[in-house]
Amino acid sequence: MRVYRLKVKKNMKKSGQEEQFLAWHDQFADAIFRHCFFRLSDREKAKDVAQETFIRLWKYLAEGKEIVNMRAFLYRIANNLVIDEYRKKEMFSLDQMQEETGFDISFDPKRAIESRDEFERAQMLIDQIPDPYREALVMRHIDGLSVKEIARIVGVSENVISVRIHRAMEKLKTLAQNYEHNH
Amino acid sequence: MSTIINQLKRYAQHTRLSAEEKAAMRNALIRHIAAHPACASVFQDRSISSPFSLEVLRSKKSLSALVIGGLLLGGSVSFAAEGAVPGDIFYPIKVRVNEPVRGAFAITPRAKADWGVRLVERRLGEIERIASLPGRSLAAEQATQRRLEEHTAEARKRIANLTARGDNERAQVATEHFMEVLRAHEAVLEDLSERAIPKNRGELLPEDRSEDEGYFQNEHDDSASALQETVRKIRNIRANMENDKKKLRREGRNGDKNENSIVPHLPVRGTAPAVRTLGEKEDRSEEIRTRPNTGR
Repeated sequence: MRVYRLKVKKNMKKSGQEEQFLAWHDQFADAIFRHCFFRLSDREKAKDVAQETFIRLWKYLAEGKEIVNMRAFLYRIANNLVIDEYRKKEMFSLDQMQEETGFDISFDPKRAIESRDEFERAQMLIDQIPDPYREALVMRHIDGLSVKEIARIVGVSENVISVRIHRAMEKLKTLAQNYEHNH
Repeated sequence: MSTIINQLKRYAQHTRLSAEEKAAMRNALIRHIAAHPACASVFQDRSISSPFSLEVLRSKKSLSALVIGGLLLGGSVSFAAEGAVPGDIFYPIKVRVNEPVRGAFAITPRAKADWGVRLVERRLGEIERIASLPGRSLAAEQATQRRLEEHTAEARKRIANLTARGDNERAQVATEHFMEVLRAHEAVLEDLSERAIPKNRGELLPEDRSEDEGYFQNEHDDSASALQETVRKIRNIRANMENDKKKLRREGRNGDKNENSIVPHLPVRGTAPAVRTLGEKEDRSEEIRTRPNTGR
């Protein structure tokens, strides 16, 4: 009985770690997926990268390493994996993404039609912004990270991040004006 | 420019994993955890002790510190409770504080219906978590299943309220969302109930297999039955909701001839995918990567 109790203690410690890990998944899965999607413009690839992000996180936790800022750490892993994808040069076109099923626009039926064009335009504009400006723009305005947090994740100064965001916005403005002009 | 950013943010809000995709990813991670358990040495004297562990109750001093810490850091405790499951010390905070507070923010009938579905999803997530981890309590599982039944009935009542108020469109959307949530979790629960839990236990604690296998076998049988019963109940509910949905569609068709333009297509997925990796990678720490053509 005494031996059993010790084993239950070990089980509870382990199960606590696993529960915490799954709780982090529940909390951050959508945000990490969203980040990957806006960086890669490919839903399936974004899901792969998001899943791999959590697998990497588990590896860290299982090795007993402590993480101070979980959110920033997850974004760093995801960012690194996205860059790995860039290195593979397996980027898909916007057209191919649109052909895929499961493009979750909205659950609200009234908004489905009126917002579809708007979303397609937003996606197209984002796709034309190159990294590292796109990275800064997505992290700032889609992920909602502060300049300080982005700088820490990416590993550059806050000033550099501010400049990248500014340039991304300028690029976005130019692209939007060109789009309006041509449509 | 602010318009474009607002559009981007709106677009971002609608860009998320579907309930099915999220559940499939979760299930894949659960299998990954079972196949790649943490090193046993990590849990010997480790300082990484889960705040959800009941071990804190062993020491009165640590319990007092926990209570005082909870009072001073109410927000942090509330946040930490979100990951708790039945049996954890923070679980009562989750269901008696966090959830009623969040529910109070659901003011409109639609928000109430959405929150009702979300509560069902939370209970299903808890059942999955309890079922897939060793050292679980059958009593905790059964208590969660009872709570699941209550929340399911309440969610259906709230959706029916939308219909009673004449908002068939929203009722239909809420019904479809609810069904998608149930479908996703049904697949996960079915998978969990079929797995040989004693074998998994052996993988996690190989040194325990010979002594604990007999004890856990009976628990596994009861738990597998409980999970299968939950799956059966979910199927029944989905069947009933399918009828509700057809009824709403008929009523909608009578009132609105543009039915085809309203309901967005929801993806249909098969069974949960196996754990996917991006290929072999060298084992390296999470240093910051640079892009192929990086530049400031």
